[in-house]
Amino acid sequence: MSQYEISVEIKIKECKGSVDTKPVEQANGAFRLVIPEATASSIDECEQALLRTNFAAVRQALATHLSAVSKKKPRNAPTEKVE
Amino acid sequence: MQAHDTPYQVDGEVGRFTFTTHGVEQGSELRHRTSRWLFPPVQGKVWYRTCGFKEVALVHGVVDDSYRKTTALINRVRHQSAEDGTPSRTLCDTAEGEGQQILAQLERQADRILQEHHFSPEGEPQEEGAWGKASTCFSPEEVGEAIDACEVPDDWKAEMRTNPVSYEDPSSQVYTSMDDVGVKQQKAERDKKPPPKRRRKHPKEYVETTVAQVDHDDGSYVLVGSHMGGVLRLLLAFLLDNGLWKHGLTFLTDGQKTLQGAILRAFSWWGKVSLLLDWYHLEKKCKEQLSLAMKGRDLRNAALEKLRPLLWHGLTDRAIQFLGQLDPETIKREDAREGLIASLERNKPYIPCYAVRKELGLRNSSNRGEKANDLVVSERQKHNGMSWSPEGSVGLAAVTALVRNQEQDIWFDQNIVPFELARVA
Repeated sequence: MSQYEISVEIKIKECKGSVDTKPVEQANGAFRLVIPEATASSIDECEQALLRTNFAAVRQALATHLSAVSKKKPRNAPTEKVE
Repeated sequence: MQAHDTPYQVDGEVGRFTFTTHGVEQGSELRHRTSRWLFPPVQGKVWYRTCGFKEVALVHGVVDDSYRKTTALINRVRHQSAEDGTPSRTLCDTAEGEGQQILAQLERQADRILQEHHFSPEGEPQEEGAWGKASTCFSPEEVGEAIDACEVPDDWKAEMRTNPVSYEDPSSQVYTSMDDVGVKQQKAERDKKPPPKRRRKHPKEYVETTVAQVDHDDGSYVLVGSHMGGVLRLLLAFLLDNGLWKHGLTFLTDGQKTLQGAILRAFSWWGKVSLLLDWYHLEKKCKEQLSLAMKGRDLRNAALEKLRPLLWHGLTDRAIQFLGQLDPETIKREDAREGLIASLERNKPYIPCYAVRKELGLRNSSNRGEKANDLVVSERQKHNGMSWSPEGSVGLAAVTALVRNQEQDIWFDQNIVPFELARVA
């Protein structure tokens, strides 16, 4: 039985570019949300922005992982006719 | 390896998401279909609901709050919009479906338990047994002392000694409070123009859910069902499964004829069954009937002041005699007085000496059952504007009872109802 590692890293840094309305998935599977400075400086608004991005990333990570698991062929798998 | 066209749908504590499952085809055979063999199989467009989702949405959600409010809350905490999150209607179907599954599982467990103990599926014993034979009562000396401690005339005391209801030892008993709770029934179609309330030709229709609270020592358990017979069958299975078959059964009821009849029929073979008329309901009945029967509040209160101590001391014959001798000049409606007398005569075998029971520390009230009714059905389902389908009402009551019995963890994890007395706070 193989093991799986879960690791989480969240980065908040200054950037350039247009502000996003919702988290956008990147090519590497990460999620990115660009927020205005006012939001970044507000405890309440920054908390919400972080949670929105976090939940989207968690859902996507779970979906990607489960789909990958489903590609692994179990031993002694039953068979059935193609419908 | 082939990716399936239909994604696997998950409604979880983290929110709603989908993912692709896979299979391997070899000729005409499909090998390794993960949507069925690796993950729990779900039908068609059904979403798989995680244990975490059920815990949040059912245990901490719909048991206390409306489907609409719970939906808004869970979608909010999962940071999903109303479009991407769980719809209110789906949550309603989930809760009701979960309740129906709990009830079906209880039925299956009851079938198995009855079979194991050599009972018919209807709950009739197929063999002789010592049912209720370990039930014991207070000694005549202890009862005599309790009667002597009552400050009443000596002729009352003599009559109190002949009261037909025995004084059970609580440790040898299983107490059950049982009642039906009605909530407004949902119509199949909404009236385009509802008639004014005062001119309504047809009375409101109600959906009934039977709730039974079982108490023994420090433990209690709540049973629910859509009809009395079914709940009594579950009660029997519960008693057998928990090794309580040697104990006496004491039922506290509100005097409902059909309920009393159903209990006596279901447990006619049990060695020791006692039915007690709950004091609160007896007093309430007297107040209501005397209000109808007598001319004015003062006369009613005066009659009640004399009637109440007679019934509290279990002197039903004296109470009937007293009502029969009321001055005809004070009577407004003879039928109400006759109704009360008939009710007392019918319930005489179930009216104990409440004063002596109190002195002995025995239960006189079905308040625990009433409280269970409130917690399991009324508090959530009886509000303005709410109406329920029969399946919806009993389904949600089943989920609430599961939570109250502290069985949700094992149910969500293994789809088993432990069916054991719980120490309920």
